[in-house]
Amino acid sequence: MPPASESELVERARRGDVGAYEEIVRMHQTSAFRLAYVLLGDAAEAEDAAQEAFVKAHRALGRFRRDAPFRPWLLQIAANEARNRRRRSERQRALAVRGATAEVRADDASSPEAQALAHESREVLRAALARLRREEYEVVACRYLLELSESETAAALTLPPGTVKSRLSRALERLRNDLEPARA
Amino acid sequence: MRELERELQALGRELAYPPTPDLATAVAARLAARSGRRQRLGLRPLLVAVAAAVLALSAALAVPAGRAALLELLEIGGLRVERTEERPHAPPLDERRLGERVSLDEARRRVGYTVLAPPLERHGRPHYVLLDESRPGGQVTIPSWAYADPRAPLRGRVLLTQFAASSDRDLAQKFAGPETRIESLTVAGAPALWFEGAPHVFAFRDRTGGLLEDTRRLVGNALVFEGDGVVLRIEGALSLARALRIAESLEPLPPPR
Repeated sequence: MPPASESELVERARRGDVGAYEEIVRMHQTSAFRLAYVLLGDAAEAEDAAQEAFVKAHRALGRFRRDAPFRPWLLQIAANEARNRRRRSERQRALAVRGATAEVRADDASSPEAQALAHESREVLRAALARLRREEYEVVACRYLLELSESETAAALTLPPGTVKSRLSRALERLRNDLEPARA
Repeated sequence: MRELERELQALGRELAYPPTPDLATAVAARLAARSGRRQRLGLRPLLVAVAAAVLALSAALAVPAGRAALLELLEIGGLRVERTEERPHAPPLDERRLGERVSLDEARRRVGYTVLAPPLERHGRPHYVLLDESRPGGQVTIPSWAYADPRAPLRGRVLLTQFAASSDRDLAQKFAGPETRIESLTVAGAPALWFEGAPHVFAFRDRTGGLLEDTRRLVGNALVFEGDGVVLRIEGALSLARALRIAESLEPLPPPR
């Protein structure tokens, strides 16, 4: 039997098939978890947020439009959950880009000097990202770090597509200005 | 695409994301627990009957708020839960009132049941636990702050508390005001209750059914369930997802060294 399509799984989940929903979660758990992680900067918090998002999405399946793609809808729930948690917690922002290690891949064939240079420039970029305004960081993280499309970024962050565009171009401008002295 | 955009994408691809947790299994377990709860709703008339029987007793309750009314009653292994219109007053958590500091092995030797704890090989031993032997069977509390590693296994201000389950309905009591949400679910097939929102009040009772004032205290979120003849509570500033993860990780302690 060929594997069930996503829309079939959603339909079965809607009728109460927990196994079908489990398959849907497995298909999207990495995207949801990573989205929560870049927004929260903490793995345990991101896990809680993503798990809660899947449970909430299940509860709301009845409201999900059958012809719509599932992923943007889910990412929106996950991003909302993550942002709410972040607002609730009073901690300083600890961005994933600050904490995570950005090692140059082992299969990178360039010279050690080139690797060191690349590493240094990533560190500078990471520090500049951490200095962005929160709402600018969020669009950059979704669009470039996670490589969501513009429309998925808009859905995840509940923003009009035009706002994503303008926020992105402002954020990139700010990053360029910020990086200029370091790269001059 | 311009240079900066490419660099950002490259950074995103190099980020060392933590491994994705197995959310699918965890979510399926939670959904199955919820459907178990729906099936158990058939028990409700029985609970209501019990509630009516206990109403007569409630006049004797040492609750200062005169208007506190018994609105709903739930019960797990001798721990009774009452919905009240107002939350009774209680002091916040004070570690000294949870018993004496002893080692995990010492507590295990002195209580009459198998103590459960997060896996020792993975998380290490707490420096101490709190033992209260004035409770029948003894109560053991493992505070999150007794671990050397602040991240594992109980993080923040979280308590794991256990005492021997009892058929005696009057062993301990929780009072929850209207601002506390109570969800009924299952943990490993056993009935469980989740308290979330405004803090509620916990207290032990003495043999005559009166509340033991010195055990009365405020509790944040809490997951209460019974396993292997022990009533367990995981309480503090934590989400249901995390409480369930801790609950699912608990293991019976190996014999003391």
